[in-house]
Parts: sequence; structure tokens; C-alpha cells
Amino acid sequence: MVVFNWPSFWEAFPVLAPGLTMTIGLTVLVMPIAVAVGLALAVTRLYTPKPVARVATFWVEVWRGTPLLLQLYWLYYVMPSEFGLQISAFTTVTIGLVCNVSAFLSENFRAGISSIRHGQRNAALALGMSETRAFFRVVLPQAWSRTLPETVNIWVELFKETSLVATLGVADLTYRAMALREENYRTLEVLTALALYYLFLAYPQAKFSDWIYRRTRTKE
Amino acid sequence: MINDDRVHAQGRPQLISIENVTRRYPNGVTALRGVSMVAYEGEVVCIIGPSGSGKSTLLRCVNGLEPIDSGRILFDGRTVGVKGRPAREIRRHIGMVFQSFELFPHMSVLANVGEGPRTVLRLPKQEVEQRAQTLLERVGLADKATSLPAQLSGGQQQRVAIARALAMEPRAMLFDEATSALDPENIGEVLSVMQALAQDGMTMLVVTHEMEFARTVADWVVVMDDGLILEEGRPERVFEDPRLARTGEFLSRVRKTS
Repeated sequence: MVVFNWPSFWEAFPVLAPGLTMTIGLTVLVMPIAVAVGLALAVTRLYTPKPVARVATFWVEVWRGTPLLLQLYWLYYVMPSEFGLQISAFTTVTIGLVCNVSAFLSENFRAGISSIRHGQRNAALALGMSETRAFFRVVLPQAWSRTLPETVNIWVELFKETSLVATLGVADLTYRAMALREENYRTLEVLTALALYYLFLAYPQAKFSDWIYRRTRTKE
Repeated sequence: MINDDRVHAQGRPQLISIENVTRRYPNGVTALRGVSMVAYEGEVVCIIGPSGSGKSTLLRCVNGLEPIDSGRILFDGRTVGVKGRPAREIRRHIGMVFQSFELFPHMSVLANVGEGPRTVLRLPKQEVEQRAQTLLERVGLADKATSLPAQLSGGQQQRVAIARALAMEPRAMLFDEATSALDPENIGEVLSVMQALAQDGMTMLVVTHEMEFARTVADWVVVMDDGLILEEGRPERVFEDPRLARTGEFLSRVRKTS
């Protein structure tokens, strides 16, 4: 039986704290870009000629169908050696996370956009709007609020999955925890502290997601 | 002999003219097999006929929401298109009311009515709201301006949809089975708004199953079946003395059910 060493536990918190900036920063940086890319992918799959739409679908399936860890490794090790692209670990994980998250978001948006009745578009066109305007004024706002709960879920998932960037040496919460553990060998205390960090940060986000879900449900 | 002249339209210009239009859906179903008809300025034309006869398709072709395969449709002398600026230019002069209302659920009632003037006509905010408010008064819903569509009854929603179409100050209105989705107690309020509109001289193309409305409000009745026009004429004549047996059969079927 391992004895829980309380002092090591408490000491872990300030040591991990600097990693917060990276964990939260990555989430905040990746999400808006992924939303924009995901939306662009969804629109491409729905409204462009078949060959183009198929390419977008293939792209999405690749990123949805492979593990994030593999994707990050692939970008980090294969891109420089095979294509001669020298990019920093931070840029690599940002690109990897955007590609991964935008693939899931695009599926979400595509379903949301398709769920809006065709008559809504017709009603907008009948007023004299262009297709583009009808999309942005009428279809997208409805699809957006319908998909918001799942979008927030994906956001919370992203927040937790940023922990994989530690494997490439990006100094987030998890990276700091691993480093500290190697220093003091207090695996139980350090990892418990790390878990609490994620939990306390993710919990309000999950609650927020529930609240959004209830709100969108009552509105319809 | 019942008077079957189109005297009411004498000297008026043709606003909508449909010339030998055919429409075959991509799935192979032929909805229109060569339809020609005219609506004169200020005329109320009711299009009646059994379900699946092509009435609604024809109506959607008139403002270019549905493409046609051959023939042509003119609105005020201009050919109606499906895409691009010329198509939009014509659509803004034609109001349309749908069977399922199609109000924008994420906008207030006032914003729904103001949407066309705001985004298409680009009128200043104050003018938009004033116009929307005036129109809501006209359809008897001034007190619902801040409500969301979902908070209204079907009849109220359809009256808002009429106001939304009128906000563009259209030269013609298309009604696609505007009362078919309504509970019986809500039909009357929508029909009376439509009747008032007709009395104001609006050019109206009305696809309807409301035979009483067609009989009393229409200037001209067109009977369709299986993608063709069976016959057309003054409502008194069509209802009292149908020329074709099929028209008579349809009318007696409708009388039995209503």
C-alpha cells in the first residue's frame, strides 16, 4: 500500500500551474480556427460539385478515423523528414488539433445544416435574397444553435485532448506533471493533482454544455 | 348560359404569363405537361385540382424557385429565371406564402416581417420597423411584434408570413395552399386577410383547396389535373357548369368531403 504524501500533493499544484497557460491557450487558439475550418468543410461537402465534395469527405474521414496521437506524431516526425518542412512542436500540435477537431465539427455542422428544412431557404429566396445571403441569414443561424450543444462537447473534448501535446514536448499541464514526476517519483500525488486540474477546469465547461443543451431544447 | 367572359381584365396588362411550360423532376416524375395561363394585373386567379396535379409546382415556377424544362414564364414582360441577379430582381416583386408558413424561427415576428426590407431593400432601420409594424397592424397582430413565431398559433403565423411577403411591396402574391396546414378554427382568419388583400387590388395566384374562397373571391378559376389545365373560366361558370366530366368529378368529390 502506497502512502499518500500530502506535502508532495500540495507542492505539485504550483509546479504544474505554468502549464495552465499552454493547455488553456491551445484550446482557445485551436477552437475558433477549427470552427471556421469545420464550417468550410461542411459547406464544401454540401454545396460544391461532387468531385470536390468527395475530396472534402475523404479528408474528414482520414482525420476522424485515425487516433489523434498518431496524427500528432505523423505531423511531427514525417513532415520534416519526408517533406523537409521544419515546424516547431507548438505549430505542429496546433495544426494537428485544428485538423482533428475541425473534422468532427464539420460532421456536426453538416448534420445541422441538412436538418434545416428546404422551405426555409425557399422562403428566404422568395424575398429576393441571394443563395449566400439566405445561407448566412436564415440557414446557418438555425443550424448553429441546433448544433451548439455538440460543438460545446467537442470543445470540452479538445480541452482534455490537448494533454497529448505533452508527448511532443509542448509544455502544457500534462508535460509539467510528467516532468515533476520524473523528478520526485511521486506518481500518485502528481497525477492526482493533474487530474484535479483537468477536472476542475472541465467541470464548469461540461455544466455550461448542459445548460446550452437545455436552452436550445426549450427554444424549439 | 352563365357569363364566362374575362371582362374584368379588359384593358389591363398581363402581369404573369405562363407559356407552354413543362417540368419533369430529376426522379422522372412529370409535374407539368405543357401549361399555359395568364394573370392580369389586379386579378385573383385560383388554381384548383386534386393533389399531385402540379398546382404547387406551377406556382414555384412562377417565381423561379423551381426550374422549368421548356416553355417560358414572363413576369411583367421579363423572363423569369432561376439563378442570379435577374431572378432575384423579379422575386422581390413577387410575394410568396407557403403551406408550412416558413417563418424564420430564430427571429421575432417583427424581425421576420422586416427581414426583406432590411436585407434585400437595405432600408434604414427605423423605416424597416415602421413598415413591419404597420403591416402587423394590417394583419391584426400588432401586439405580437416581440413574440417568436413558435409562440403563435398556425393562423397567426400564416398572417405574419403574409405580412412578411407584403413588406417587400410586391406587385403580385403567390399563395401555395396557405390554409392547408391549419386547424379548422384558424382557417377563417387567414382567408379574410387574403380576401382583404384581393379587395385592395393585389394580383394573386392562389393554389387552394378552399372551394368557397375560390368561388367567392376569385376572378378566374383554373382547374388542373395531372400536369395539365383541364379548363378555366369565371368561378360561377366553372363551379355551376363544368365543361369536362373530370372537372365535375373533382368538384363533387371536394363537395362531399367539405
